[in-house]
Amino acid sequence: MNFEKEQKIEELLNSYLDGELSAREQTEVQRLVGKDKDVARRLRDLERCRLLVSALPPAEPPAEVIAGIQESLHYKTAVADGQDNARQGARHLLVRQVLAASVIIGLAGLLIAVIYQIVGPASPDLRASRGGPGKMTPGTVAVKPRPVETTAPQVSPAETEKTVAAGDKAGVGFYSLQLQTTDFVAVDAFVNKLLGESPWLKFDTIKDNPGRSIYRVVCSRKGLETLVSDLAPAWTKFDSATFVVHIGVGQQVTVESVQPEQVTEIANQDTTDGQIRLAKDFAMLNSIEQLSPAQRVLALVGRDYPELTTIPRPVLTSGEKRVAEMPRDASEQLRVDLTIVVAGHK
Amino acid sequence: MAHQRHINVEDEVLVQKWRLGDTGALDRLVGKYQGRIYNLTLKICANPDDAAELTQDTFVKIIENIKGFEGRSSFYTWAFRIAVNLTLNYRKRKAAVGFSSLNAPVAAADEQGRRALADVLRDDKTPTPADVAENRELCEIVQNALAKLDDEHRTIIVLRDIEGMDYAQIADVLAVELGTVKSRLSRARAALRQILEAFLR
Repeated sequence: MNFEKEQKIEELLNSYLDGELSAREQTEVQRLVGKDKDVARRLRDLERCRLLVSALPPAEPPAEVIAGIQESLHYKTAVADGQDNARQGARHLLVRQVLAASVIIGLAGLLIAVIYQIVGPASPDLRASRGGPGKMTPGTVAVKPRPVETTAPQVSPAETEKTVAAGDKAGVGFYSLQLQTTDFVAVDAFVNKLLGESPWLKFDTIKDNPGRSIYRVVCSRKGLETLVSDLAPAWTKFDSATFVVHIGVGQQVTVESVQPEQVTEIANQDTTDGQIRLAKDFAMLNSIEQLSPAQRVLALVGRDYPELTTIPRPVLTSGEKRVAEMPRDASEQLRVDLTIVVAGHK
Repeated sequence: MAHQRHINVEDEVLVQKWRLGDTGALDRLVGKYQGRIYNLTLKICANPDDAAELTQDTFVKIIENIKGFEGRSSFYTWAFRIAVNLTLNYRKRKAAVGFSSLNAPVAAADEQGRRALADVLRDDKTPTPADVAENRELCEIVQNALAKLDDEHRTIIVLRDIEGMDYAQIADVLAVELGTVKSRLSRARAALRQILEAFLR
């Protein structure tokens, strides 16, 4: 108990010396010191002890120490700044690299798309093998030789050879028109009725499965023009319309998203080469049109305003004559062998 | 006495300027505290070379951690806390490998120093600080006595009697309660008194 009391007095005296007591505590200590000589002596000892330490002269840091500190600080500051700059620089570099990579990838993709549009193979069958029939999507243009469509009418080798051998003169034109629709029953009935009511053509019907009808139509070019013209009002019912020009054995040109007037124009070219060139032009044109943002807008607003996104058709300025200018009787003599495939979505 | 915050407005302004990229503000802070921190470390570790290195390390730490300085304490006590911690840790490492200048036997005080000490401690006449400071032998004895204290006691005496910190600041630097400062300082001075008395025998 005494020890604790002595310790308490010692702490009190120290606090008194250091000016850490309140006014009332200071008064009490002064009264205690006045009354008790031993406490007074202890206070004096403490005071002198404190004096001895506090009077020690401060050591001046050597000049090299100050210089060392300054050097160290500036180095550290520079390093810290450098690290900040490096971090910031690394971030900027990364962003630039990502942007550059994105641009390169984008450009490469665009280039590939353009090249693919020009030389890449694509046909309804190929699309079907990739993912089956679908909506009218940005299509690819097939100019690469490939086997003749299995759905195409069976033509005798002699006829085919004759067609191919025709060179710049179109003999019998072999075509396929593949129509994909969600409203199969109505569209098929419409096509069937239309063909039945067209005495200028001959047609056979093949029903190989409940969701598909194949019609083989033989007619003149004029007959084809009339047929397509009659089909035109129903064109908006087709989710996709693909026209294939069969050039010869294993060769064809596919025009996706084909329009009625395009079918007529292709078929009316008086040479096979003319048909091929025009088919390629339309294929490219339709592909670009499908890729245009307007198609997405159209998809959003519905198909009520197709004229909003219709790209004006190119005017041919080359030596290829329009069929309209051909002698009527010559046009009538030419035969068209058209296979119409009406298919519903599964 | 309630724990008070002692904020040096000038320091806080310099710190803010420094954070904003004013390197001149850093130079001013260094210029203001380098001598005091050097003295603090020197008194605690009693080795000028170590003190120089520890002072340098302290400022490096200050720069590294200034972004984390939240201003809950003053820059002054924050900087001294770094210096004290570095120095005490350094002392512990040195003690662990069995080398410490403070553990060396204290050289016997010469007669002149002993007489001067006796006059201060036992004479009725109280000397002035200048009298003490001018007496080189006496200063050596006091420094030796300080060196004989343990680190905890030596540190608190240096902070109070040499650096002149108040109890709240000491509590802030040492991260202890105010009551701990009072009791520890009381014990430290008592221990120092005993060591000084021992020089007179």
